Amino acid sequence: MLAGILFLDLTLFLAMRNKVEFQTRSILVLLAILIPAMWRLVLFQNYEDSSVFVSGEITWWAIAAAIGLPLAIFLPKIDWFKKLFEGIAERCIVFLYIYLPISFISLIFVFARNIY
Amino acid sequence: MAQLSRRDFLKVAGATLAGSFASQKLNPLRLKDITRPNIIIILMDALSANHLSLYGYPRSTSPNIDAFAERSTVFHKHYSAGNFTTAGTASMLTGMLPWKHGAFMGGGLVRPEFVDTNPYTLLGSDYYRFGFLQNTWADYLVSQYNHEVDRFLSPFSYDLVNENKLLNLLKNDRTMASIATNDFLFSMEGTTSPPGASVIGYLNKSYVLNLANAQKSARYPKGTPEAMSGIPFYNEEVYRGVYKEISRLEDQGSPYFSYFHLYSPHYPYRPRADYRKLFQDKYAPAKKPAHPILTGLPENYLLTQRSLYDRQIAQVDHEFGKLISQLGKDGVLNNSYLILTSDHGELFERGFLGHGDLFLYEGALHIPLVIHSPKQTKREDIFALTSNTDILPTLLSIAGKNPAPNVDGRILPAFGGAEEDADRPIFSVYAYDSSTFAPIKKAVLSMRKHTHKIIAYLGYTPEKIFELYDIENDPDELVNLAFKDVKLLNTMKDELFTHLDEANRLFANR
Repeated sequence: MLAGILFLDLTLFLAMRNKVEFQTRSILVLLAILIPAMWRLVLFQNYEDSSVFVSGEITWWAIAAAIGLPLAIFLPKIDWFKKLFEGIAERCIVFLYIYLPISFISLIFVFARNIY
Repeated sequence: MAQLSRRDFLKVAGATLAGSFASQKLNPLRLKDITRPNIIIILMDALSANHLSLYGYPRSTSPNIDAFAERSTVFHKHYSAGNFTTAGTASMLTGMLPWKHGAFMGGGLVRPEFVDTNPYTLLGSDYYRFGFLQNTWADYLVSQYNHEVDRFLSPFSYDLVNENKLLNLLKNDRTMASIATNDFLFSMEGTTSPPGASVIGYLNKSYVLNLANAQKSARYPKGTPEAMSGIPFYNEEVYRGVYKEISRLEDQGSPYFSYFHLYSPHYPYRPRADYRKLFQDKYAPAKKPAHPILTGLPENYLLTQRSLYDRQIAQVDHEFGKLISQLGKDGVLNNSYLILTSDHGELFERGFLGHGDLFLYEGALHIPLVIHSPKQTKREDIFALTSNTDILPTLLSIAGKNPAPNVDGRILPAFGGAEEDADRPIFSVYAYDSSTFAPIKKAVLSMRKHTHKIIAYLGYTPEKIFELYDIENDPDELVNLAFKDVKLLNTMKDELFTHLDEANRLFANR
């Protein structure tokens, strides 16, 4: 997902690329993917809706992109919004320091138990 | 006595070590022990005995099972101890009631102290042990003793998607790998998985449903059946796989125990096109009174779904018939016990469709049990009350093994057990809302004894509701006798609660 965000920044957002808005824009792109994905999973829990799920996929993601991408472009330009998101990002980064080493240690354990 | 030289000691030590390694390596090649019969369990998930023509259902849903029964032992009053997969399957495998084995939540596991009470461990290495469980919740249970299973297929092995290779890779952590992938990483629910995993879950769902959609054909115009996690499959392919696996087991040269937990006729009911035309009749089952706590679906919808379920059973019955015919031709039935059963039933009544939840009515608990013994040619009918906790003690008995410790079940009549114990109570437990690690306080319990059955709702609002039915004279459970026969209600209630208290005492010293 991170690679995707970087890719977007080097292609679609290339014209407006600057370091000041990158953080907020990346969070918004992430939310623009996560929220529609979660929402749609919750909406289609019934087995009998499976063909509707498949047939409506393109429309769903087109609408999600039509709403999400402009928001990702324009919301970072609002100063208080940018500060809010950067504040959240600053506070959340601590989880990376916890999760990354724990995940790494867990992976070593799993490989040790099952492969060697 | 001559003293052992260092050289001799090293020789002996080396030979002992080599011998022990060789015996392990050669184990799969051991010669066939003809004194021990093969045991094959075919479990059809969510197959209610009340929907089989074998047990008197007015629609001809099971002509092939009926034919198979003509040379088997048929148990007419066989009950599951749980009303959904985890609880029912765990009871069959451990021989214990859910309030003891503790696996009474969706995807739950057996308490660690009882894990070794299972057919795989207790049959031991005398048997080549095989497992294929299409239902992932059942697969979790057998994963608890993964190291005791000689060949353990992924639940998706004969489905239309690639099998979960992670399960083969992470053999020592199969349960965790299975739960991690199904319930978190690839979860298609969107409510149970962590937000970050919902993207992978979404991609998985999109892939699976697109695949299922692409499989819609003239044969399956309304889609194929789907196992848990929405994985599409064809019953034809799954049963072909069962035959292939049994043929492989026959060739491997030692007695074997094999457990096939097959998903159909579980919901969603999607029979093949030629079976969708069946049962266009005016059959209308007795209209049941409302559930004392829950309300739900309209009657017309339940009738439509009931017909689809019956058609799915008819298709599965056809596949089963083909399998039995092939096994008969190959001579497999001459040296094997073949057990046909289910983990729980299915309901289409009182506004409810399916199984689980606060419904311990007959349709959900009364399951088929048909056992073909080697070379059996005549039918035998057993009318004693039996429980699916009886399967494990019976398996061990016919395999000539020691009885299992701690079990609630008994050896089945006609297989070495007492002919009939008229005073035996048969329990079923739904305790989804209780903790596995504490005494059960919130649950629905049922006890079938003699001609009657009591259902008790504990910890739900309104408090302490009881239902009492005369099953022999009122098999549809239409008239609740709880207020009419208070004396009998109190007697049965006391017995039920005495057994619950005994089970809860397991936690007294924790």
